[in-house]
Amino acid sequence: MKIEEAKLKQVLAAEYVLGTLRGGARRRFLGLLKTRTDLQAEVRYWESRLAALQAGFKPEAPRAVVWAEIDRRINAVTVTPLKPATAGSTGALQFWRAWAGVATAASAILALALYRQANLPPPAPQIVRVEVPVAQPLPYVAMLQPEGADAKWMVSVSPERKLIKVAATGGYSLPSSECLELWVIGDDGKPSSLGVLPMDGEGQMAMPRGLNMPAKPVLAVSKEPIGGSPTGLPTGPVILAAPALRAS
Amino acid sequence: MADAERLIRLLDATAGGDQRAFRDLYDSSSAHLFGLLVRMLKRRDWAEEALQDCYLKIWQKADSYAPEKGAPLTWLMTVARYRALDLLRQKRPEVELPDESEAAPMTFADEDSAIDPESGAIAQEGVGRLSDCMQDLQDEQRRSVLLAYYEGYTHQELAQVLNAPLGTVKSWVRRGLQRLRECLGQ
Repeated sequence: MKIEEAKLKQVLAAEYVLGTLRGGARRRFLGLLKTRTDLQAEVRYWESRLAALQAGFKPEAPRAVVWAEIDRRINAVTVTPLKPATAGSTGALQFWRAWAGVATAASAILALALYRQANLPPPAPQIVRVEVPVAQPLPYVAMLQPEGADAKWMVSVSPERKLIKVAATGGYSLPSSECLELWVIGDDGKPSSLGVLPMDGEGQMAMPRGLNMPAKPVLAVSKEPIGGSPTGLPTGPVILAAPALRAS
Repeated sequence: MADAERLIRLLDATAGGDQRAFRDLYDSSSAHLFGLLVRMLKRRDWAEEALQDCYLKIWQKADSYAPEKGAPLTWLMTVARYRALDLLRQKRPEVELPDESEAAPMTFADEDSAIDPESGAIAQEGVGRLSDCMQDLQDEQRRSVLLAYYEGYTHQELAQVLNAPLGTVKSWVRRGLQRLRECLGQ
């Protein structure tokens, strides 16, 4: 495509933003737009310039039913926020600790180890499909089960509702100075923290902000100092890894 | 017009999963988005459906907004305008015409212009200058660009509404945009 021509580039970007670029020309432009920063800059240019025309649209209040439907779709089930556990408190939520922040960097060695663990055939953690009576789409689910322990964590991650739910059963012995931290491994092999796993009971938590679920998410659990990894990356041994599947 | 700083705060809280902030954001901005959607889609049922899509997307993608990208309401309305264009494409699909950009490349005037689209200063100035530059266009060029912007018309629809041949209308749009670019980018 002779898109190198500066003026063609400008006018294609302008017609794309205006909406008159259609059909094959539009599809090809979108394809190029993914990687071409010069085209992205042109599109931003036109978006910001033509935005002055937005003042010409006359505001009009939508019916209340519209919000009700939005609310229903993001929040089909009543969410009961978890309160962070305080030291010395008792009860099922006692171990639901403060959640760690999102990891931003990668550990290639860890990722490789996780990848190998995720691909071990027979002792791989058991994956279950769960029927969840909520509006589509259903969450990603994984059953996490470390070897040599009867502990199990049922984890569901719902990006649409920005919600992570964990139900812990069984027991896992851990020194009081340690905790288990849950990670999601991105398509690029980088781990991002989802938070500290509860040792029993059930809980739910907002997804860390900025976190996008990878196309094929793998969940992993590592041993960390109490309160979670101090670095935002796994620092202790990884006790298990398992793919999370989206029920459909 | 909703207060920009307040909207930025609400978007930020929405990105963190704060549903109350999201509700406030909706209350403060939805009339602007809905007005745009009703105008472009012409049908209130489509506009309501589109408004839901927009806010579900905003709920999920609030963290992709950054104040450097422009005013928050502008960003929200840009989300709505692209959604309206998507729906118009789906619901009023046009017959695919031979693709001119492949067969015969678009032709342009010869002027050389050194324009840096990434210059924030120019961009800011450009917004204020848009209406002046609009006045510089020929009547048909201006009318074509504005009808496409506000009504989401395709080239074919513009040709019908303006009662002119398709090729003529395409060149009005194209030359109008080129002239705007020259005027705004100076």
